[in-house]
Amino acid sequence: MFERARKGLRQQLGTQMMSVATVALALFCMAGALLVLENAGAMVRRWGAPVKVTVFLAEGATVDQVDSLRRALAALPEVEEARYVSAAEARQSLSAGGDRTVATAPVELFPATIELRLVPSAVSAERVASVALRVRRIPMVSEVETYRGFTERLRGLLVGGRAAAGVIALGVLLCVFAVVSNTVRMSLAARLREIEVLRLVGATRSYIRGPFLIEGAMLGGAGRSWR
Amino acid sequence: MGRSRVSNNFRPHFRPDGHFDSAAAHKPILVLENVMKVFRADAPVLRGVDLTIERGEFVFVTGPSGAGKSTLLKLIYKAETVDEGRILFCGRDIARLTEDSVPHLRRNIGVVFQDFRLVPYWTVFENVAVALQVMGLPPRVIRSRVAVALERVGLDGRGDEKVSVLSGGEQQRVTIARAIVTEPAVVLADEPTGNLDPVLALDILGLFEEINEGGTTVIFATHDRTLLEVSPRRLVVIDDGRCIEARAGLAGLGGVLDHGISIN
Repeated sequence: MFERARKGLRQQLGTQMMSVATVALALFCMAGALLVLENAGAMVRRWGAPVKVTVFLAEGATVDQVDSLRRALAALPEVEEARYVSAAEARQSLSAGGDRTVATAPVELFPATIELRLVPSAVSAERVASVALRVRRIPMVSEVETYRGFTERLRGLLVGGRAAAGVIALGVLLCVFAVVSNTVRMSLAARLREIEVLRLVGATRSYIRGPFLIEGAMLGGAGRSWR
Repeated sequence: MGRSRVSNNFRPHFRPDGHFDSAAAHKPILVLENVMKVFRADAPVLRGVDLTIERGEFVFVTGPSGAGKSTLLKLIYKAETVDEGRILFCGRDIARLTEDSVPHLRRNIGVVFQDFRLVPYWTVFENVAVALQVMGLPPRVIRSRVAVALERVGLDGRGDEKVSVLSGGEQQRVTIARAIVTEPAVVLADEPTGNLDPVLALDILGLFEEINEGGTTVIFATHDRTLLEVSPRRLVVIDDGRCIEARAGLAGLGGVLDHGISIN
């Protein structure tokens, strides 16, 4: 049986190699499509959730009050980092593009803030809204910006992108299935006469199948060692 | 060209366990009882064929194209199954054979086709030897028996050639060698001369007659009237799904064959 498998491989080497290469290429395409889908999912998780919250401080808050508030906010499990941004730093940051009007504006126009960077993918929009509501009740806080509108639009965009990637991946998957199926059929069609003759002269099913199974195992083994 | 005689022992061992059935040696090689085969309900191919073929007979089966000659042969080697009736091969109803027994039935039947059915990328030797390899015979025995079969069909010393480079007549000889190398009980020939010129056709017919002289039953389906005229054998005509018998060849049929049979 091994001898017949070896002979079959030798006689149909070109067809066999072409089949293996086609199947490998098809599987490579499928892996690429699945990778795109997986990355689209990761992007939704990473960028579709709130990542930043700005706490605007009321005028007259003392340094000690601000520092204790910053430490309290930094201790929240959803918060990765809480950074105090003074009015002067806010003006400097906004005028970094060279806008002289902003750079010369009175510093009182720029409220001091505490910028919260949230733990990626650990915070839901609802949880952030709940935290913002509670922080807003603190007397030294004038406003809390959660960028919810922007986050929701970005999330919508990413979910749409993921759905498109899913449709493309499904299409690629169907193509891969068709290619693999046709390749196997073509490879088998080249051997149909051989199978027909074997059946005609009284070969049993196991006698016919055996070498094909061994050939498949040999090709699979060769492909694995090549990888 | 010297042809060596091969003993033609009748060995009906188409049981999976390979046991010899001694009772089968005393029964007609083939009995068809009221055999019906229908592919389309409105046009049955065979509608009640009754036929008995004794061991060692040479029988021509003829009839117009589409009459059911090939179907009849396919039923015998179980490429098709009967819809009604029975086919007894050495006394056994082949319709009742299990899937596992069918290969063993086919080892007792050699089949020759018009289109040869050879594997083009195999050598002459490999195409003939395959019939013995499936039986699990040792390589030494296979080499010797293939050599004898190739000598009988006039292809001695050509075993290493690829069949794809052979002429049509030579390819048909390879097919015949494959059919007889197992020393089968019966050889079925389905229009074996259909792709050959008249001279080669007579040559191939002569080969089948030699095989028959060795004791092998030969059932030869053809619609070539020339062959029927040169060889006055038992003739079975399939017409309208039924068999008409003529023990003395064409002469025994009168005008029955005046339509549908070609003259080469």
